Amino acid sequence: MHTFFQQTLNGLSLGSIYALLALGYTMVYGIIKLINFAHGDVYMLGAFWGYYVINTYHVNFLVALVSAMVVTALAGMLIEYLAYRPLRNSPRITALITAIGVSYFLENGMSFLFGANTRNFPQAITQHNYDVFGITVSNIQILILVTSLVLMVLLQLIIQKTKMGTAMRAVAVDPEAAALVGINPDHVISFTFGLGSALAGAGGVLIGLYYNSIDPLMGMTPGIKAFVAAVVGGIGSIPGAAIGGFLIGLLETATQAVGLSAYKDAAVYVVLIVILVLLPTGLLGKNVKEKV
Amino acid sequence: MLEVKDLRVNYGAIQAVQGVDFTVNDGEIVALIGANGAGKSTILKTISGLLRPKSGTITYEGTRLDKLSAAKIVAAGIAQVPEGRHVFAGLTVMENLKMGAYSAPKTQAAQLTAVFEQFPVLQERRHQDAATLSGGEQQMLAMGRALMAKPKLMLLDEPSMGLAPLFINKIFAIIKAINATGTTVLLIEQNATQALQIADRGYVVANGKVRLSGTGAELLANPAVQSAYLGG
Repeated sequence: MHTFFQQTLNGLSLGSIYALLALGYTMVYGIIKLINFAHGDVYMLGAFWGYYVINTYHVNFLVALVSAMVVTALAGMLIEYLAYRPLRNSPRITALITAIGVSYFLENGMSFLFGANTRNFPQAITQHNYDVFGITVSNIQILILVTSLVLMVLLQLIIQKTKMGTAMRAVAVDPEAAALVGINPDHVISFTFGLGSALAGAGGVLIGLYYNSIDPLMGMTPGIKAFVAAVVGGIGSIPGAAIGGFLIGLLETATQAVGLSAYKDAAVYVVLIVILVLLPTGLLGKNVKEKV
Repeated sequence: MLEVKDLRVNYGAIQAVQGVDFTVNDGEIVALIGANGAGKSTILKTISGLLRPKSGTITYEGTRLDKLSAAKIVAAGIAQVPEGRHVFAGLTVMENLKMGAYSAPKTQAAQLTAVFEQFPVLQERRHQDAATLSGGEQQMLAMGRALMAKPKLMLLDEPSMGLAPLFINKIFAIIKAINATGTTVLLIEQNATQALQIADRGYVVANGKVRLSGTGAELLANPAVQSAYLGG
């Protein structure tokens, strides 16, 4: 029982980071039906920005987090502008392949500019472990969970209550009608990339604190796992992405806990296959009928 | 107010519109009638910027529309009620209306009052998901949403399609009422009789071209129109 609660806590901490990433995947997919495979690399950029400002300017965690979110939001919008916007009317597969290209560009570009070595992420917050009913809880875990939940609530408020958020939902459900009421799709798409990338950037800083090490390829595996999380939750569904993220985090920790550490990635991909076969629209995805 | 000259539009490989000319004057109701597939919807979509013409011009109050984005055309004062209503499912009635005022936030409050006056049912249902409305109510929402932009010219694409007869009469009465408040209307209808009854002028479109034009009454009385479109 003891191990169970301990692993659940660990799984939720990791899962909240996957959830932050999965939200970006699902929002972008909801708007332009693109799986942005460069999304994991935006998370890497966020981690590197955090590393840079904490080491160079000795800023505190909050400043590192917020500035990383701003920087990655801008990076995401720039990527959309340069790489995806010119392909707006191209077949979807073209944009998908471009996304893979952007991903390689960011990974290798960062390796080329700053070196491919793994770095120790500076500890902006000293880790303390607390013993709660026999479970080890670190302040970093609590910080990750609280920060992720706060960001998810903020995202929900933006999407449900603001004009831009409502426009996002309008474009996602009916792009043609959205154009007819005067919504400029480019603005909404850009905003969506900014929002999703900011969450990825936050995830990057949080994972740096949690795992203590970063490198230019760190976005690859979490990026794919977050994509799986978004598919499990139902791609295009925002609550689905959050739930999927937590589920994948829990699954991964559970696989490790039962002694199958070597198979933790495989377990995630098995879930992807099972979901695609049994429940192709995911847990909360809508069964969209193609209109004639 | 609106002048369409030698408009040609391709829809995929099909030449859907093959040189169409017509005008809409300030304050009028103009109807484009014709069979399904005649090119009427393509004309409307080209005016609102969803499609680009192959050649020809669309001029609105001295401005060429055929180069502007859909968003700029709405901001210029043209709002379209699309065929099949296209309300935003998953958004509430209120959110749908607010999106209608996307490019005219300053007049949003005043227009909302006007829309609720015109369509009291929308006020009753303002917190409901738009997808849960009946077809007739969705048509009213689509019209209300277009009115939220405070348009000078309103384009309506098959507003009576798929509605019960009682609702059809209501929709045409509302179109007349909207026009009476000073909004110019360009209407596309397969329901030619009712469209021509409320229209000041009409154009008959067939195979991508304007075949006939005249006042609503003239077209209603025209034997060729009667046999082809009015079921007479």
